[in-house]
Amino acid sequence: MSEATKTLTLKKTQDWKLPTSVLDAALADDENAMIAGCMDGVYRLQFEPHQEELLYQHESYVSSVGLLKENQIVSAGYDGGLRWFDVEQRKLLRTTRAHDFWSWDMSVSADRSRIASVTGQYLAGSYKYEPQSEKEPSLKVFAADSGDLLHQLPHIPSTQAVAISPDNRFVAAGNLMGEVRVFDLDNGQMAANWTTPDFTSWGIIKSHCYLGGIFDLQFTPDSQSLLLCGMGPMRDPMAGNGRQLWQRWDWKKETPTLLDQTHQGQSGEGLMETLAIHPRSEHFAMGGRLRGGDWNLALFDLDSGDRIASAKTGFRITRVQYTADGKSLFVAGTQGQPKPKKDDSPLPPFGRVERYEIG
Amino acid sequence: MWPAGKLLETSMFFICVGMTVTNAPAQQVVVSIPAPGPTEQIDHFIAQDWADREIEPAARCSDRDFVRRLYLDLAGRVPTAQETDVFLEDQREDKRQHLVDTLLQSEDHVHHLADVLDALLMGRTDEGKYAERAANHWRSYLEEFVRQNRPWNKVAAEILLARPENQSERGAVWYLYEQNNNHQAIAESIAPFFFGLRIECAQCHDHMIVDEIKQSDYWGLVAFFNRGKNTKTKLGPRVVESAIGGFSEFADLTGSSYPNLLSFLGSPPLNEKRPAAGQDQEDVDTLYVSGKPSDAPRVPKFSRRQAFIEQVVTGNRRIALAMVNRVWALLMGRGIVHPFDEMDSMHPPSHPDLLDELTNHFISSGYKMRGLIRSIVLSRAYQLSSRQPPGVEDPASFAWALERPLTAEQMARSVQLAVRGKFNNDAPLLHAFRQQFRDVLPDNFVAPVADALYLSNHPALDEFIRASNAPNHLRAQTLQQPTHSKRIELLFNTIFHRPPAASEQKAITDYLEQRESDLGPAIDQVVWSMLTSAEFRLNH
Amino acid sequence: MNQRPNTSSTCGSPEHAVHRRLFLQGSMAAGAASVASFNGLFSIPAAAEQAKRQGKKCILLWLCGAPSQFETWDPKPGTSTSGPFRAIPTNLPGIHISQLMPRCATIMDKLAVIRSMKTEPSEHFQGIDVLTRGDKPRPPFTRPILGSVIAQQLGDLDSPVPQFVLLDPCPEGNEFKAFKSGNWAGWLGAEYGPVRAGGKYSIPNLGRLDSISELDHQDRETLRAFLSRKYENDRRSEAASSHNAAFQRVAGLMSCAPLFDLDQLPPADRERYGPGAFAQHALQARHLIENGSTFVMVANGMPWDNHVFQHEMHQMLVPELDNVLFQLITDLEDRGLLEDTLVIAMGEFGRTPWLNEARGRDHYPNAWSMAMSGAGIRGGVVHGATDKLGRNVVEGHTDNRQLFATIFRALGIEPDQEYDLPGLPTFRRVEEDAQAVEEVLL
Repeated sequence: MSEATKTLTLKKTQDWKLPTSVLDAALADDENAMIAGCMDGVYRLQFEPHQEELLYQHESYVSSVGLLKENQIVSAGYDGGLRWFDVEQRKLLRTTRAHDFWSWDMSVSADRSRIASVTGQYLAGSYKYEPQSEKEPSLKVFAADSGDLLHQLPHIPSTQAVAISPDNRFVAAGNLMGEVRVFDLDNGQMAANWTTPDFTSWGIIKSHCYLGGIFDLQFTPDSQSLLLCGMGPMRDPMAGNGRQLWQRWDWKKETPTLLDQTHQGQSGEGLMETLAIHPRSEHFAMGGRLRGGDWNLALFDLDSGDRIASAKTGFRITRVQYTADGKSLFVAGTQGQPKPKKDDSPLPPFGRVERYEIG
Repeated sequence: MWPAGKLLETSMFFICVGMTVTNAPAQQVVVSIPAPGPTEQIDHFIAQDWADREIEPAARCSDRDFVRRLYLDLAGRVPTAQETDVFLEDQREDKRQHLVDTLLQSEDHVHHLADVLDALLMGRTDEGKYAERAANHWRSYLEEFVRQNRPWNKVAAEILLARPENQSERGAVWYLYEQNNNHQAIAESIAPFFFGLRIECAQCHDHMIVDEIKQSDYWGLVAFFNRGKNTKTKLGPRVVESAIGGFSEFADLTGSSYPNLLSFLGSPPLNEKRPAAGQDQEDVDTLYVSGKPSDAPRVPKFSRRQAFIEQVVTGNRRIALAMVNRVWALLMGRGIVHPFDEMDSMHPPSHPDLLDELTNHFISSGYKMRGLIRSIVLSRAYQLSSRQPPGVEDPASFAWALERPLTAEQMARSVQLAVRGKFNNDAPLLHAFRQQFRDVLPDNFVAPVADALYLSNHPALDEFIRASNAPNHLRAQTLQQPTHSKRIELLFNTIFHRPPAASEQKAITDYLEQRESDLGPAIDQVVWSMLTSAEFRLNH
Repeated sequence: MNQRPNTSSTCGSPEHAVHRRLFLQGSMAAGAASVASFNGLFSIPAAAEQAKRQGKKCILLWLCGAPSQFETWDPKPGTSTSGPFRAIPTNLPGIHISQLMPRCATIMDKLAVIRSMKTEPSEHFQGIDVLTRGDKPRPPFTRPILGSVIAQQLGDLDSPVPQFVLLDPCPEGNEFKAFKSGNWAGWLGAEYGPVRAGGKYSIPNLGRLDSISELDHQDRETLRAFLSRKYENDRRSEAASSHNAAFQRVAGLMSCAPLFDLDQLPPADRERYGPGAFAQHALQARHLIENGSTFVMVANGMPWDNHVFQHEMHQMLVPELDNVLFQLITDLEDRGLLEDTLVIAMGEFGRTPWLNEARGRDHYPNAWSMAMSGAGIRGGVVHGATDKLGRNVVEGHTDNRQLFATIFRALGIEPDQEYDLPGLPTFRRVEEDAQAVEEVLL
């Protein structure tokens, strides 16, 4: 670790439970509530006073939620649908069938004008189980206010992560095979594409097929580079023990180049599913599952890439988000489902939301 | 248990003559005699088990069977026809013991045991890696271990510490080094070879069936080695150990996580201060002392590997138990605990007292391999016929000699000897065979169809036989014989160490008579058929 | 690393060699006067065995690692543990299966599904053992695997085509790898063990050496067999029996090498089955069955063991299985072979209803599903049921013995028959008089 890097601490200050897995979450603008996309629907979790409310449901799991203007939210689900909801009026505004297969991930642009969603079913495409080419457009971009489809863009299934650049000019999507495609939102032209093999496993030991890929990506605040996260390759993907991995790429170069990645000795094992960048660009946060090692939530210096804080949450993290002042971090995720005792008895809650102070 | 130092004189007598104790006279006199040697103990416990099971073991094997079996087991090759004859003609009462002692002192024994230990400890590998094992003195280190009859506990400690202080130990580094910083692979290899335990399934959860193998054992064993890093130094490859790091947690199937404490098989976890999560340790010089010799890499003041040797290896009876059971399995076809490297509560020993006594003896004799091997091959059970007695089904009774396939190296040397009268340990045939016949000590022998196809259609063996066309090779020698009958006798004595049976004489004569016009290739054909037959392929 | 198998010991009985030994004595009496007569040594008498053969065959789609019943045959829509996939109706009124199986939904009238499997082992090695052999181990005796029993009972031993073939391109596979290196044929003897092929790991050294003529090749093998069998018979040697059985395969394998060449299968068929290794080998299984094999087991490592990435894996594996089953069953029917060919699709257990933290489902033997079609099986039957969340079997409990009794009955093999194993304890094909599931039998 370079001497200039200051280390920080992460201290848990509050925690809440939700009935089912939180698969994505968005902190409300007043920072007193979390909109949580869960297995069984979209919840509003109010912190003070504590209140939990199931707002509405999809036909399957909710995969993503995002905040729009005028107290609206949008969610995407494993039913392939997008749903707009007015939180004030508790009213479902619009349902759009975005994909035939599920929406893996959905992102809302920083100015809340655009929504991008990715899909794609991994189906055997060769003897070695390389994925088949897409059966429907893998990436769709919608207008946030009207719900109009603005772009449908090609990728290779399964396309698992999507992000819109802070300047609202580009959309990037990453897939199972570690391929990233960046498109210009003005004209739908591909602006960059490259493949990183470091997130994808081919199961030499048990499973002759591909697993893993890119699970989240984020543009840096200057929109110049892209952070990717997931898990390093394994001989046996079912062990889930690839290293906790992020990479930073300069995507604007003629040939995109790898700038940095999790530093040697700073990772344990486990799938990393979420990235967030500090509002004043001081550091970024990554979270996911702990399989081996001693952390599943960590902060990294945005310049040096050094790990500057870490914590163990005891559950799988699906979303990290900074507060606007950059002093706290909200973490959402899930524990394993408890074993149901009886058919009709509800499961004890296994969704998790926690707040950490950054010190 | 064997009554140490005291023995019923009568039962001693009956064991010696191979009768069952039930025939003993009613009056028994207890006398004081010196403690029985390990061979007598083997004979006692094995015979007692036969009596308990009410089974009649196979007869003693013939001298012909014995000489071939012993050469294969101790010298790693079949005897030559001449060596066979010398033994058959030896008139001494104790000629078997003489042969055992001669072979145990031979260079062939050194190479054979080094082959076997290498395959079991390091695993089969490609020819490139075999060359590296030789170039980095691993192979010569193993050979020296056998040649000097060095104590196994000392050698085990050298290999696991991998911190040689002189030239003669430098090869010991290669065991850890070849595993290339893969600390889980290191743990999964150490457990079966040094401790006689398979721990792979404890990676993700406590062993589901074997209660005593915990997930904490797996990760504890990993932790003892996870500060090592392969480094090329002036002195050669070294596994340099760091004084910091190597703290992690492992998660069980429910997602709960636990620290990887330095503990293995119930050893109390070592008291090592763990840094708080996210807190980085500083790797400062004060944590180290200089290495020996002085240009060796520095050594942590608290060395996890050193601690492993001191706390877990030194004095651990399992180190001896695992080796005793493995050597038994090598010579007898299966372990007293079977499979030989799953010495856990699910796999109880067939002869617990015997295993105990042999282990005591191995320890008290200073962990010497040669004495252990000698005591087993001199036993009655080792010297039984391989004909399975009627009505006896359980191989764990050791009531007949269990047949075993020749290892790649045994096969390659023996084929060379049979066809050319001499062998070379670096022959292309040996390199070819060890890429195909990879098993050394299978739990049970199921002949792979792939091996049959290899022997039938791969050029290695075929070309070797064809190229053996010198005047002193078997083909020319056979052609020189005056009659088919004499030719067949020579082939059988050379390859099978026995004269042909009448039916064999007839069948092969019929074949050769059809091929009178081109007899050389026909003899090659017969040689191939003998070398690939079960009689040659098996140690029986 | 050293390829040391991790298995229980062999049964140690040499008695399986008896019929061959008697035959050999007879053939020796006739003398070995010519090369032609040597070749007689190759064949094994069919004799009275022929009478009981009904020309029935079997393909086992071995879903190793254990698939989820919820994402296949027993979905639980609307429950907390159902997972993200929906259920869809089938051509059987009231019966739903996972949305990942739309093609099988159209041929449910040809399938029998058991939703009420309940077995004991919860670890792979033990599960594979019990679900391929039909019973728990009883050391030191080794029960033959299903394919060995069927090859021995129904196989044509005169055929050069291997009677029991394992198609599995995956050279690794943890517990399945360990299992594969064990003794499959058990007390039936090594000649009833499988020939393994599949993919690039297909049979090496299958072609005769250029340096040797066909005649010489046969001659020397005849001599080898003669010498080895003499040794085997003189010594009652089980090791030699295994050695000889392996060589006995060589000639047959060499003659049917084209059957093992995927590139020789019709391109249109290859496309229909799908490009993945499992699908291609399922097609090859059909091809082998058409050309004389009796039992073909198709596996692809153990890809179903999804402790992590469960949905991500099942979204790919289940549609492939769905298509393979559909193609295989309709193909066999079109060719008039379905009546005589039993198709089985199953793994070694099921998966937990509850999802673990790593987005996976763990091992679950308490309540799981499997499917069959073809010879002797009544289509359109769903046997048994599990409770609302799929935690327990509530109706039609079926264990491994009952399943094996059903499979044997479907193939016309008597489940209760004793093995003829002189000197061994009494073993039956299915122990404890376990009864077949009559509902799924014709």
